[in-house]
Amino acid sequence: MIEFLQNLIDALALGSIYALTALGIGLLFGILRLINFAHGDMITIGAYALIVPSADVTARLLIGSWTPAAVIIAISMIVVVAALITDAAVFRPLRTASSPTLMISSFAVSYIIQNGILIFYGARPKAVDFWSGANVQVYIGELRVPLLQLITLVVTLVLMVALTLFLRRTPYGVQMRAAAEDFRMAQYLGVRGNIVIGLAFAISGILAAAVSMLYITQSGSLTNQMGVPLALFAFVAVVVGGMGNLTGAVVGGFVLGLIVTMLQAYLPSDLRAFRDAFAFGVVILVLLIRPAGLLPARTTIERV
Amino acid sequence: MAPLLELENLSVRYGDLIALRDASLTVSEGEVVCIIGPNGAGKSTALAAIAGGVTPVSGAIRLDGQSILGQRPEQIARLRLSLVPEGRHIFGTLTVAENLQIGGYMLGDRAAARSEMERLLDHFPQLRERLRYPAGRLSGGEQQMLAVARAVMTRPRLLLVDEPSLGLAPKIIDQIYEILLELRQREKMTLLINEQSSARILKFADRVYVLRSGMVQLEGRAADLRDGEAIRHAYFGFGGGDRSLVETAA
Repeated sequence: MIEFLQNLIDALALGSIYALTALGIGLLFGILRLINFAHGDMITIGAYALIVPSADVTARLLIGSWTPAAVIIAISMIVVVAALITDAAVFRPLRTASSPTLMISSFAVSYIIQNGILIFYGARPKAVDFWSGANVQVYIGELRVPLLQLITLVVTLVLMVALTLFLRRTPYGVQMRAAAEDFRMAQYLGVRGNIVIGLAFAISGILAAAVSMLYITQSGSLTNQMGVPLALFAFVAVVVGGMGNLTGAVVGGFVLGLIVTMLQAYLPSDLRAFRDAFAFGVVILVLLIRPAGLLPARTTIERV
Repeated sequence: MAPLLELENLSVRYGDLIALRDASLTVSEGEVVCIIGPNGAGKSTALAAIAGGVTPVSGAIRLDGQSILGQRPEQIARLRLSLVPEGRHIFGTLTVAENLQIGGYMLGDRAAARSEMERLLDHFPQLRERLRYPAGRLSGGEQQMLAVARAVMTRPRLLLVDEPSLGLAPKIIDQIYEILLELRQREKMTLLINEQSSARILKFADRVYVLRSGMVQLEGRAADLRDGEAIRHAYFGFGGGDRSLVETAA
């Protein structure tokens, strides 16, 4: 039982990372119909911003050595600016482009960022010692839990509540939900499209920055492609949860975290190397049973 | 004095399809103007072009004599020109109140938006009862009322209404037109309305344009067209015809 509970906490922590990433992707998909694979590279940018640019294998901390509050603010600002630049330089000129065009462009942005990092930081993975104090274990009764996992859960909860309040209670949040449902109609009512989209990019940047810091603290290593699998799993989470629905993205993230962690824990040891194949097998099963995802987006009911 | 709204030789194409060909139209302050025409005549295209939703290939659109061509829909909305699109386009996952608020954000200050909403809800008692409902759960008629109310929340100088009676029961259509009449009388609102049918419009409008195949076929004062003969000719493109056929279409 204790073992199962520990696996469950692992699953929640991993699910949190997927859920935060999926929220960033889901938010932009809702408004722009953009499947933004470059979102993973925003996470990479946030991680690399912690260290001194150099080709050394062991990274020296730059921003990462500041006080935690300063780190959080600086990394968030850097990733938000990076996200806004991708919008201004790439996605804004493509506003009227089709969804596939936008997605291909996001692949291009993704590769440009990965190669840009290569130029300044070199190709080899780097070890980094960032907030490693958070990896201590704390005891909750008989449960032994890494402090970082608790932090991850709390941060995720706080960000989700903040995002929900923003979307429900503030004028810009309401305009964002309206734009996600019917962008053109929102414009007809005076909602400024570019401001709402810019805000969505900024929020996705904050979510990516949070994932950067949580993920690096846990993994302690940097590569220029570290964000790619996160974006891929998060995209799968968005689809499993139900596209165009932020609650679905969060649920999908946690479901995926649960599937991956439990397979890792309970698959026979010979098969664990193939964990992801089993995980995606489960994903296919879920989609066969519920093709629109676990929580399909509610669409406007056309009544006569 | 320049009319409030003026379209001059406006043409719109969708690829090879010409949706609007050299259409000219004016609406003066305080007027109620209706565009009638069969399905596919270019009525919706004309309103979408005015609201900035489609870009014309040639021609001019002027508001108070100033060109508004090439402006984005949200900029045109801020010139107090508001569109109630065909098919209503309600934000179904938002509450009724939130749908109305969207229209009010443009007013800038929250107190103004709130008092506007209060005042407006007197015209729409059914909406007042359902303010906290998701708008997608409203009936078709209620959704149409919400679409009109939401557009009026922007305090438009000119309200564009695209086929308000589409797909609604006659009793509901009566209600919608009662509300439009109230807006006209109490708020002195200028209206440009699209409809497929002429019967109701000829009693309601000051002036009428008949559009067919993207071209303005006929323009005139509603009072002069009530016998229906000229309208029938313009609407169908052939003379005389069976009166009952038109009444059905109308």
